[in-house]
Amino acid sequence: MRGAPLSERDLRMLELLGKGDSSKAIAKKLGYRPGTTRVYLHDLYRKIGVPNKTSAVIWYFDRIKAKNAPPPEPDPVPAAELGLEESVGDLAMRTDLFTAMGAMSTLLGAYGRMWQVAARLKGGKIDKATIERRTKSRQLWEALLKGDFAYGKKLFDAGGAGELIFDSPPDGALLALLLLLGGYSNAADRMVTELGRKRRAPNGIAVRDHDLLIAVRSVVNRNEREAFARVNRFANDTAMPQSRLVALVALHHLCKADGDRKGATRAADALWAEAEASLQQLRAMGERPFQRSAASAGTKAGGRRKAQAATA
Amino acid sequence: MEAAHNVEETLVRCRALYLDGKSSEALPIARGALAKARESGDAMLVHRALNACGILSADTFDVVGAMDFHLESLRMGARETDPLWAGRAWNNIGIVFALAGSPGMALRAYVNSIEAFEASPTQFSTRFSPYSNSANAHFAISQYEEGIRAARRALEVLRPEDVVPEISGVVLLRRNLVNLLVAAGRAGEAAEHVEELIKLEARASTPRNVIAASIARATYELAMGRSEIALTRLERALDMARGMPAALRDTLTAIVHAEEIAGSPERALARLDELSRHVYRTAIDKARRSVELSQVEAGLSEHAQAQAQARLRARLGPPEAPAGWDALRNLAVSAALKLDSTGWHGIRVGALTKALAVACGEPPLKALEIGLAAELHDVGMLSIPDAILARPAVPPNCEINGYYLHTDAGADILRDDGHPRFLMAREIAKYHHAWWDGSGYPPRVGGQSIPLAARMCAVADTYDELVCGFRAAKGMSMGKALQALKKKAGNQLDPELVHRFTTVVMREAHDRGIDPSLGPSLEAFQQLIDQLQQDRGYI
Repeated sequence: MRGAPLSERDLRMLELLGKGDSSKAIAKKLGYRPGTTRVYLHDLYRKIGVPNKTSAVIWYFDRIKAKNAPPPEPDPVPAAELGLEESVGDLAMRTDLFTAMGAMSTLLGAYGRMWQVAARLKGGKIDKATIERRTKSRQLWEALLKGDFAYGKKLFDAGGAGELIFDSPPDGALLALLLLLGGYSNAADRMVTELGRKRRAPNGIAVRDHDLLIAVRSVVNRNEREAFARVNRFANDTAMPQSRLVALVALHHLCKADGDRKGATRAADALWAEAEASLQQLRAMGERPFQRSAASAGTKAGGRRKAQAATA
Repeated sequence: MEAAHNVEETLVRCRALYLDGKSSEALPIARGALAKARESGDAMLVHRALNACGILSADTFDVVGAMDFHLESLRMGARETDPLWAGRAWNNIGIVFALAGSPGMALRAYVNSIEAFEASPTQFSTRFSPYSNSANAHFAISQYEEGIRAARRALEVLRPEDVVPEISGVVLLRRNLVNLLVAAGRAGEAAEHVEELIKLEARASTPRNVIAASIARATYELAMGRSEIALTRLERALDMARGMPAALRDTLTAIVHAEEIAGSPERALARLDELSRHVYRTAIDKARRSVELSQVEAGLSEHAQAQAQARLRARLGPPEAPAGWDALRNLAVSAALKLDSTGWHGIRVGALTKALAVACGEPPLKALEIGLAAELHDVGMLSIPDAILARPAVPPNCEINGYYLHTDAGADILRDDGHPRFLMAREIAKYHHAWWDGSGYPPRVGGQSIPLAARMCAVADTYDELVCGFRAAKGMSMGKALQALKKKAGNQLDPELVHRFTTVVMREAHDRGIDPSLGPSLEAFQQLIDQLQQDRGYI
C-alpha cells in the first residue's frame, strides 16, 4: 500500500489539510461521513508514509514547494572561463595595448610621467626642443602600443626618419620597430642599418637596443626561433628596465601576429605590472599622477610646514 | 692568582672602552680574558668574562654571538646556589632580545632576572638594571603605566652609592622614565628627570651617556613644542651613534618621531627607511639565523613600521627640487677644481652613484635623488688648504694633516634644510670616507652603520679617483681600476656594492662598445659617464 500512487481524492484531502481544515470540515466539503473520512485519511497517511495529520501536512508542503520551485541551476561556470573576467592581457588581445592600458600607459615609455617628475627634481628649464622631441616620442610610443604601424610608414615616407636618427636615436629605434612589425621591410632595413652606423656617435643607440631590433627583424623575416628567444630575453631582463619595456611591446605584437595568445597576454600583463610599479613608486614619493588637484594639495602641505616652522 | 688579577684588570679595561663607545676594540681583548679565565678554572671569573664578551658583542650588533655568551653564562648560573648569577645572565639576555627587536621576549627575560635578584642574598650594584630595562621594554610595546611603575621601582632599589659607578645605567634609567612619562601624557612630571639627566651627563659625558641623554631631552623638548632644538640635538646624537651600532636604532626611532612632529614627512620617511632596511632588518636577519633566536617575532615592529610609513606617505606633497640647489652645485664644482682640473669629479661620481643605486634595486627616482646628492660629496674640499691637497693620499687612520676634515666641513655647509635631498647630501658628505671595517673617517663608523647612500658614493668616488688619478697618483684604465676596487672590497668598501658596481660598469661599457682594458683612457671614461648622464627621455 505504501508508495501507491495518490488518487484525486488523496490530493484533494491533502490540499484541505494544508489549508488547516479539520477531519470534520474535510468530510463536509467532500460529502463523506466522518468515519469514512477517517479511514480515507489513514489510507493516505500509509500511502505517503507518515504517522499523523501534522506530518502529512509537512509532507504536502515539502512537495508543493519542490513542485513550484524553479528548476535547480546548473553549477556556475567560472567567470574567467566564460571570458567575463578580463585581464589587461585579454583586453589587449580584444582591442589593443593602448586601449587596455588606458591612462596607465602615460607612466611608461620615453618622456613618460617618470621623466616629468625627474625633470622637476633635477631643476632647470625644459627647452622648446625637448618639448618637441617629447611630443614626437610619445606619438611613436602610443602608435607602438596601438599597433598603428602605418603611422610609422607615414612618418618614414614624410622624411621624418633622418631627423630622428640624428636628433634622438632612441626614437629612431621605436620607428624602426614600428616599420619592422608592420612588415615594411625595405624601410625598416634602412632604419636599422642607419641606426647601426650611428651607434658610435655620442648619442647613438645602445648596443642592446640595436640587438633587439636585429632580433625582431630575424623573427619577422625568417621566423627564427633562436631570435624569438633573444627578444624574450630582452623582455625579461629587469636589469635594463628601459629596453625591457620596448621588448615587451615587441613581444606582444610578435606573439599576437603568430597567434600565440598566451605569450601575447603574458607580455601585456608584464607591461601592466611595470606601470603599476611605477605608479606605486610615484605615490611613495608623494606624487599622485592622476589627480589634477595634486599640485594644490602639495602647496597646502608646504604652507602648513612653513606655518609650523614659524610657530616653532 | 696573578692570572686572575690580570683577567680582572683586563675586564676593567674592557669596561672603560665599552663606556667610551669602543666596544669593537674591546671585544678581542675580552675574548682573550675569557680564554685566560677558563685556563684559571675560576668559575666566577669565567662568568664575568662571559658577561663582558656578551655585552660587548651585543654592543657591536652581533646579536647571535652575544646570545651564545649569555646562554653559557646562564647555564653556569644554574649550577650556582646564589641566584644572582642567573639574574645577571637573564638581564643580559633580555638586552639582546630588545636589540633584536623583540620587546615581548625581552620582558620575559627581565622578569626572570628580577625574580633571581629578589631571591639573592647578595646586594648587587646593578640590581636596578632589570627594572630599568623592563621599563624600556614596556615602552616599546606601549604599556606606559606598567613601564613607569617598573622605572620607579628601579629608582627605589638604586642605592645612592651606586650612582657613580653605574652612571651610564642611571642615565638610561632616567631616559626610560622621561620617554615613558612623555608618552603617557605626563610631560610635566618628566621635567625633574631631565634636570637630573643634564647633571649626570655633565658628570660623565661619554658618547653613550650623551646619546641617551640627548634622546630623553629631545623627547621632552618635542613634548614642549620645541621641535627645532630637539632635531638639532638628535642629529648630533645620530652622528655619535653611527660609531655605536647598538645605539643607532634608538636614535633613529627618536628622529623619525621628531621629524614627523616637526612636519617633515619626507625626512621622517628617509629615516624610517634606514631604520627598517639597514638597521632593523640586519639585526633580525642575523638573529633568525641562530637556532636559539628563531623564535624572535618581528611582527609587531614590522607592522608598526608599515603603519608609520603609510601615515607619513599620506602627508607627502609632490616631490620638488630643493631651493638653492644650483648654487651649491656650482660651489661643489669649484671645490672639485682643487682635486681635478676639469671640476667634473662631483658630476661623474653623481652619475656613477646613480647607476649603482639603480643596480641595487632602488626605485629610479630615488636613485636620481641619491645621484644628485652625491654630486655634492666633496663640497667641503673648499676649506682644505692647497698644501695638504698637494701631498699624496694616505688612508684616514694614518692621516694627520686634516685632509679628511673636508667631510665635516661638507656636512656643515649642507647643514639643515627641510628638503630630504639635503639630508642625504649631508650624510654622503660626512660619511663617504667611512670605511666598511670602521677604520676610516669618522673613526669607528663602519658596516651597516654607514648610511647606504654614503656607501654607494664611496664606491663611485674611489673608482673615479682610481681612473682619473688625484693627489699625485697616476690614473689607470677602467678595467684595472675595477680590479683595484675589488681589493678594497671588505676593508674599505661594502663588498656587495663593489660587486654590483663592477657589473654596472662592465655592462654600460659593453653597451657603448667601450673596451675597459684599454690603457688610462679618460676619453673612454668620459664617454661612459656621458652615456650614464644622457637624458634619453628616461630618468
